[in-house]
Amino acid sequence: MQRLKINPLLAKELRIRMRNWRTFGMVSLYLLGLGGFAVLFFLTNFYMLSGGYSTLAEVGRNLFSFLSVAQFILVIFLVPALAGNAISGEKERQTIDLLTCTQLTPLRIVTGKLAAALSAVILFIFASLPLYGFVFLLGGVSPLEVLKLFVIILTVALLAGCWSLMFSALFRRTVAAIVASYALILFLLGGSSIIFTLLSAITMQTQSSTPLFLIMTMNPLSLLGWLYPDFFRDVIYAVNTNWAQRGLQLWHLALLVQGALAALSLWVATRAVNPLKVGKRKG
Amino acid sequence: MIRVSNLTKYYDKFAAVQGISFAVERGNIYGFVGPNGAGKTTTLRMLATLLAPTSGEIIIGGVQAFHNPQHTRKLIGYMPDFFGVYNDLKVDEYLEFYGEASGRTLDDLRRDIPSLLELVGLTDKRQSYVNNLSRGMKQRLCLARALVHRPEVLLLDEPASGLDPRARVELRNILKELQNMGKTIIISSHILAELSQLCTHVGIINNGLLALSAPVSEVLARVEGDSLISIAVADRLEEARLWLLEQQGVRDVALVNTGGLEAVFSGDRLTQAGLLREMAARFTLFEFTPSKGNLEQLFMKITEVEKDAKAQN
Repeated sequence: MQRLKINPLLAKELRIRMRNWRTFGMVSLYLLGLGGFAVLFFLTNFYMLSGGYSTLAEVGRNLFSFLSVAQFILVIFLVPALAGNAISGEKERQTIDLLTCTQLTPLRIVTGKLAAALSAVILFIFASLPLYGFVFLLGGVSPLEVLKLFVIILTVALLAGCWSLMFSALFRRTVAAIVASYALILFLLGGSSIIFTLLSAITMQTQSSTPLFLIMTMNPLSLLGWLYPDFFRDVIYAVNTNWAQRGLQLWHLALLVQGALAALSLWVATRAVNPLKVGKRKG
Repeated sequence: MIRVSNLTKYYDKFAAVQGISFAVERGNIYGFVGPNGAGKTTTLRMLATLLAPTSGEIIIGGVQAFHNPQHTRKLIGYMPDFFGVYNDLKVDEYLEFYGEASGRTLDDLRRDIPSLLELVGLTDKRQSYVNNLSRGMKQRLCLARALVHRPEVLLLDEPASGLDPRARVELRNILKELQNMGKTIIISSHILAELSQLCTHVGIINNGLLALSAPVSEVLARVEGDSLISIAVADRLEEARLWLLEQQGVRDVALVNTGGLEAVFSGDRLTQAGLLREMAARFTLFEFTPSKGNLEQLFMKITEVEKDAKAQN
């Protein structure tokens, strides 16, 4: 029987990761954090429910919204910790030369490392499934919405993974790579929101629209627009009314912009891993 | 098997390697000798396609190394001077990983790994975690890793550094066995005595320049300067001593406690052979043993000359 052929780097990473108590510690912490927030959220809503101010389905819906944003934020901040040491760790351990001497091309090394980081995210998502079972118990959410959420979370993990890998390949030290990854993610999440808010305040006075609002396409939270179309509807109107009327949504553009940024990061990482691309050759 | 032509590597303005050229035939062991910072590691890293040269050419197995690095990497097994390991893997898993990464199938590897571990003497450590191996064992494991994809060429950068004398002897035996298997080996080392016993050819590099590259026998023949000849004659010891003192190249002769003579000789091998012939015709010789000129002597001489030249500049 033909053996399933997977990237040997991915197989090795999974083997090492699953032998490490750190992984189980991280999963436990993740679930404790997410579950703890969910319980707190439910308890605060429980009083509204018992007072008759809200229905069970509404509470379920609200809990789902809360969980989706919480998981989104947790994953986007977890990925740099998982992918930030992917290549810099090999440099620190002095194993990068041995790795590049094999038949693994720089692209396969980078994609193998990315797949290993994503596999950990998939583990976290699967581990959190029982929490979504609780949401289903309350009602107000369809399985398709949960599926959409998981696709969004995996997408954002993939994007953040590419960005973190780039820093991991560029820096020799893991700490520097992780700090740079967090700085970029914080800028994309917070920086773009602040710029957008300032621009909104200015244009509100002048009653004008500006393409500078497109800064929000760099915000990973924009991807949640697929799940919550009303969430960022106004942004695309502010940029161009025609686009909005034709059905173009902010998350379409965000996926395009952030996807391009991730592809560029992957290319930079691949070049940085290739020892023969570093430095110029004459003659 | 390996041909290096005018290989040069600059780090900014610093020339680490300056136009070196040498060739290594299939099945030969080429010893690369030089002081720290001479350019040995830089050259080996270029041969291993881990560093792009500034100029020059490397041909391994008939293919230009930098035009087809993936093909070259299939042909070579590289062992760096400093290397890390994955501590959380077991010995066989470690070799399986590198074997698979080098394009071999797991079934093939599981068949080959026992004999590979036997070669490097780690059979009983197969299920041990790499973390639990001693330095010498890790060194041998790294050698097994370099061999796991059955390369034709081995590039070993200071493989004996940090090893105790016993581990060094074991490593030398393994390398001899690899030579018998037909592997072409380039090995850099500071332990010159060991290299002269092991290598077929030797290259001496200093300040990025290849000062000498030749078969070991030829290199040793070039060693000039004083050498000591131990001589034992059946009788007429004093006569033999006086006769020796008159011969060409003999600078001094001393009587030794064992009842023999020790002659300080300065000259080439032909003169030395003439001396032996003449002496054998006159005296009953039991022993005529010249101390071999060694790589250390030559290495010291070459590096000394360079040092002097630098000091004069």
